Amino acid sequence: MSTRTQRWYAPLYQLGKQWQLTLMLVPLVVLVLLFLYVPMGFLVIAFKDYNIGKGVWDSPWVGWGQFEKIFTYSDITRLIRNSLVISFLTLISGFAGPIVLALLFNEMRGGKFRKLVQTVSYLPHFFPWTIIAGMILMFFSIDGVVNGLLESWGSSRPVQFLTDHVHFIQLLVASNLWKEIGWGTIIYIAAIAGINPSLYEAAVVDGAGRYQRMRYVTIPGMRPAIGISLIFAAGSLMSVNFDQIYNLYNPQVYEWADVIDTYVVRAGVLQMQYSQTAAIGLFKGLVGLVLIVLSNWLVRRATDNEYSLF
Amino acid sequence: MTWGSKRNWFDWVNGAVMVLICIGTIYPFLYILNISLSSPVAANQTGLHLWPEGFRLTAYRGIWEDRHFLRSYVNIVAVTAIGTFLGLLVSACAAYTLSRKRFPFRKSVLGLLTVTIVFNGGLIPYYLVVRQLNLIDTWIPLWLPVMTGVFNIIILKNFFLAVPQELEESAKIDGATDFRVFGTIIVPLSKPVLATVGLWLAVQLWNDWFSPYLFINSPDKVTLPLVLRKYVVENDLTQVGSFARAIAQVTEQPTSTQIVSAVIIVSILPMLVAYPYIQRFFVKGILFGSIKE
Repeated sequence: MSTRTQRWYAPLYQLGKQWQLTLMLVPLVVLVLLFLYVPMGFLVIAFKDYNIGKGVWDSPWVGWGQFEKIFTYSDITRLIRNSLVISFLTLISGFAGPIVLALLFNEMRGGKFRKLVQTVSYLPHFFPWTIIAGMILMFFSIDGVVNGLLESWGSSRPVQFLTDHVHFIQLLVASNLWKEIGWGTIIYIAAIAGINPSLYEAAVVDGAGRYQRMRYVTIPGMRPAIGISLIFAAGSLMSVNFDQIYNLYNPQVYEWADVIDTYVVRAGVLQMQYSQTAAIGLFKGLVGLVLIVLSNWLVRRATDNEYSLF
Repeated sequence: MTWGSKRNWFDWVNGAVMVLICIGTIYPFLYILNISLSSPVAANQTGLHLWPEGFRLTAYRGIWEDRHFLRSYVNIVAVTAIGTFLGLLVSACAAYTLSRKRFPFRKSVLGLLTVTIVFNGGLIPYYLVVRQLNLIDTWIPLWLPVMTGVFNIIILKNFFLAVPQELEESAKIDGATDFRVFGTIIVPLSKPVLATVGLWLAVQLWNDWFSPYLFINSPDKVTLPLVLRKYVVENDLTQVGSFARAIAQVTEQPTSTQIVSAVIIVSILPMLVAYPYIQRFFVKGILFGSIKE
């Protein structure tokens, strides 16, 4: 190797030599820097009193002022509570549901029926929440299909699915499960497909029945996939499905259904309270980051360093 | 593995659960379809509506007459087509570079991308950057998420890595440039994964409601999801309703539920028609991604 390529600028020299590869990477890097990294820099407005006319640099610093304002302001506790309640319920059902369903799929004898059910169960994943929300509003409103059916079966009062907060949260959890349960099974089905068949044969030789095979072979085989899903799920504990809630909720359930993300859009984009909502966003992002790192550490401890994300 | 051939109660319960899943998934869509095609009187009656009663197409004609809806439909087709192409181009080119071990900054760029999975600036700073760059009321912010989707790039990169190195080496000996290797060896060999990722991007673009909601104002740039929200979620049918009523005169006006149903059916039609053919591609994509990781 020549001395030239061993200097500090050697990688840059390589970059010049590989200019075609470099050129192919440039658009992505520019876009990522501009639209994913520059916004991280813009987060300084959480520590300023941002004014569009003055711009980011000339707006005055307020230190932790925005955060103090937020946390003395009573609404934030309500927003955090709602985010945690809704996403925790969604997380439990959305996490356990696909695992159970994947096990049930696996216990089917294969063939066309199994293919059909799987194909059908993926379907709702591909429709946007605007459409699913429209259908839910149609089915569950006071004069909707479900109440119509309940009435014809003898129920005297219509159920307020959309305006009573308990029913509303149940509806959020159930509709999320309905939409995503099938799609969620894919990662587990892939994991089950990767299990060495000789493990099952050995289990049969040892006299394991169907439930024992499920318990001691299939479920352990799903562990890596479960670990990864858990890490991602934990990281998004403070975020909920924005599209779902924003398209479904109404002022009558704000008390329990208004969450951090919906508040950020209403206050930040529509009412232009940029600094405050950026501060809320930063807080949420940091909590998410901590949760991901924490759950990653837990999964790593629990599985002897094998199945963690990083 | 062999399960033995005898069916026990578990199999029957399992089968019943599966049948319920099928019904529970398909029935709501079937209901909407039937309502949209029924006569207004029949549509107003409560019941299961297992088939259209008193077949009518008035609701659909109402949509057809509504220029605003048609415009948004044409726009979403354009946004999806251009966006899928741009997204694939940017991601595939970048993924090719990132799959070449001789590229010096491979690790650092991958690190740069991975960070964005775990942490980002959040909505408001992103919105302000787009604003600062004067991209409000253009289609460009609608395409950004598909061009910077790190997950897609990792899937493409893993697939390109699996293309045998010898093919590239022999092409290089024959004097091929990187552009040429990418265009004549990598891309043709990677058609399945390109199709998969392309389909993902197309669905993402077709369904995206939030980006146009944030960034699009002018009526002639509005895309389908925005109109969908207005008609379906906010139930604001003044526009389409008047067309449908004008056609039907006084006696047979479609109900608002029927118009909403027809709007839903028209907007999911491409997906419904293509779904049986393309769903395995979607699944394949997840499998590429999870197995190679």
